[in-house]
Amino acid sequence: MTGNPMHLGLILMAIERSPEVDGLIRSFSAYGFELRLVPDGETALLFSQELNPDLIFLDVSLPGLSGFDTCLRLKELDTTKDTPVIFVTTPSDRASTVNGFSVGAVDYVTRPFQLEEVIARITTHLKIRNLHVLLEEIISNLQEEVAERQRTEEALQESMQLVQQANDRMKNDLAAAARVQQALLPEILPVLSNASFAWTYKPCSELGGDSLNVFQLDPDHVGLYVLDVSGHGVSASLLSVTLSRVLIPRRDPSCLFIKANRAPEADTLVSPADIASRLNRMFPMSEDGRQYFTLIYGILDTRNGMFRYTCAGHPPPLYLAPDQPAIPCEIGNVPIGLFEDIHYEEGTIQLQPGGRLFLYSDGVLEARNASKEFFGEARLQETLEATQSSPLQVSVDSIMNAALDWTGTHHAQDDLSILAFEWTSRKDELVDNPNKEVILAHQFPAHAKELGPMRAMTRTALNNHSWRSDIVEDIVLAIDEACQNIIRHAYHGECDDPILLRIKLNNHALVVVLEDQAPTVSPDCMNPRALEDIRPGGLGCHFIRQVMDTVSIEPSSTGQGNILRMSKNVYSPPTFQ
Amino acid sequence: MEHHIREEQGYHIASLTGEIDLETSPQARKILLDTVDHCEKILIDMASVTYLDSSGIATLVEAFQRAKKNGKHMAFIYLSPAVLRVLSLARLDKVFAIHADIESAIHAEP
Repeated sequence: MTGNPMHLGLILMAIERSPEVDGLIRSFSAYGFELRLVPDGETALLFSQELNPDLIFLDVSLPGLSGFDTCLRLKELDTTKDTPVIFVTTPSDRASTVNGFSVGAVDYVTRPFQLEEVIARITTHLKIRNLHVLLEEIISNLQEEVAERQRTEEALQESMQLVQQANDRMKNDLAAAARVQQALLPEILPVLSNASFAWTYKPCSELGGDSLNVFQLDPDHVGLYVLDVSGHGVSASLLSVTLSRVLIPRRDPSCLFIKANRAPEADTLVSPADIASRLNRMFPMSEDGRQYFTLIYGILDTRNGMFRYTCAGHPPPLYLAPDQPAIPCEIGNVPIGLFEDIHYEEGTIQLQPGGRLFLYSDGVLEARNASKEFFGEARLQETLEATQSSPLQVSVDSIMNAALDWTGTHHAQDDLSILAFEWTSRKDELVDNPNKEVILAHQFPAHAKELGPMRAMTRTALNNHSWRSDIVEDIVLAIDEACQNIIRHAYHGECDDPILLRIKLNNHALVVVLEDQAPTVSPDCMNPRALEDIRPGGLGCHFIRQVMDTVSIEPSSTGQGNILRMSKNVYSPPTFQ
Repeated sequence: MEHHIREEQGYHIASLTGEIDLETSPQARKILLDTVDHCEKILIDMASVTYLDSSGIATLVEAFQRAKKNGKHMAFIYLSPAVLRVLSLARLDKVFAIHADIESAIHAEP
């Protein structure tokens, strides 16, 4: 270290000046230390605050303020509380050495000074002090870092709360939008004696791009459609909802389906191909949205079972004739919105009595399992053939369940829609065909006490056939509830006027006809109320709808009274052992 | 409509008999509401009920709701498959407290 020109530290020494001390000053300088000498404790305190020395020597026997008191004061001051203090003692002064440590000194040296020892102690304590300072800096930096992280975490927490709130708002909005979309699905299906309808729908997310509906266009025609907007989510559902609103039949000039005339009986129906062309003009694919949709729309003539339809980029309908395999009825047309001035082709399907037609979206065919294999047309056909003898709604639900089971997760990648109808036969054949087997004909006055005997007679008549007892009990309940409705709502209470009950069997269709002589009632009286609304009448209609496949009410042709017709497929497939 | 009320293990057990329909449901209503008004723990024994229609359902619902409103316990026991079927058509099989027998009804009481 000798001759080191560097300044290694400033040392303050409070000690009485002497030749020995002067020698020390010179030697210190040679080692690179600057030494400031002060004569007493008071001056040491003063200088230490001004000079901020790196190390302080205090003679234990200073004049005035003692070395120990000076040390105590130094340790109380912020500037010097961490500055190492070394006491200068004599070898015999053991007590001062101990006392020095107790007031905060880090070391001591004895006189006469041994230069190398003093330099070694200075170097050691400066090193310790520097390490101490460095450690404090590191701790301070770490504390700052921890504080910064806490601030970041708090900010992150705040951001997450904002995201959560935004997410909740979006969820609420989506749920509200989904309710709007649900409200556009068919609530009440057409009630006809010769055709029945069923549907099911499952969007792949809160909002779907599919839509479907079935509605009566006039007394003899029913319109049905399924459409599928390209893509998913909000944009697809917005177009889907718009289309559902446009595709509502009403008697005004904006109606797509009916060309209204002054006299309603002169109204004409717009052909399915023209509907597709008009939609194609109304909803061209926009440059930014790039949305188009596929559509199947058809009109069922309920008098003869003729279905006239067009299929624009949509999967072909599947026709299932009784005891026959299902047949896809393909027509090749492009989706709606892709090209201008397209002419859409039409097809017709002549349904046999008991024939069923299934319209569905491609989500059914394209439901994929874990191996990315499609549910496909073959499985769809297999499912609807297997449920041919089940009620139509059961068949439709079975297809939906089979497709969802196929995915393994019950979560399809696309919306699933299925709409189906069954054409039973011509109305007059269904009810008035004299060849039908008459099971029961019974007339009774509209009194509550007559219902018990009526049920007993009905039960006996039905039990002559080999139907399951629970099916018989269901039918008895439906007939009983229908009779109650006649007493309550047609006759407005018990009276002696008659109710005529006829039960007939036409192949597998059990047909129940109830006639009264009351004033004409509205067909709405047969609509069930919500199940929560437990009042007589509404619950009875709910039972009737649950049990029977078709229900309709119409005024009697004699101009007096009403005819309530109900039918149920009572076919049970043979069982094999 | 015949009925019979007995007391067993702290419960009043009302047994109804026959068909509960448009004709008999006013009588069944009176029996059930009287029982609810005068007893705390009520079991309705349906073993001999051979038929139930929507007016009968409305009667059961009214009694059940009155019991619930007045903090009384009411459960149905010994239901035939036919009666259970009608309750399930009305989706009430999940609403009413229905038990196979007296023991399981007592055991299940909260």
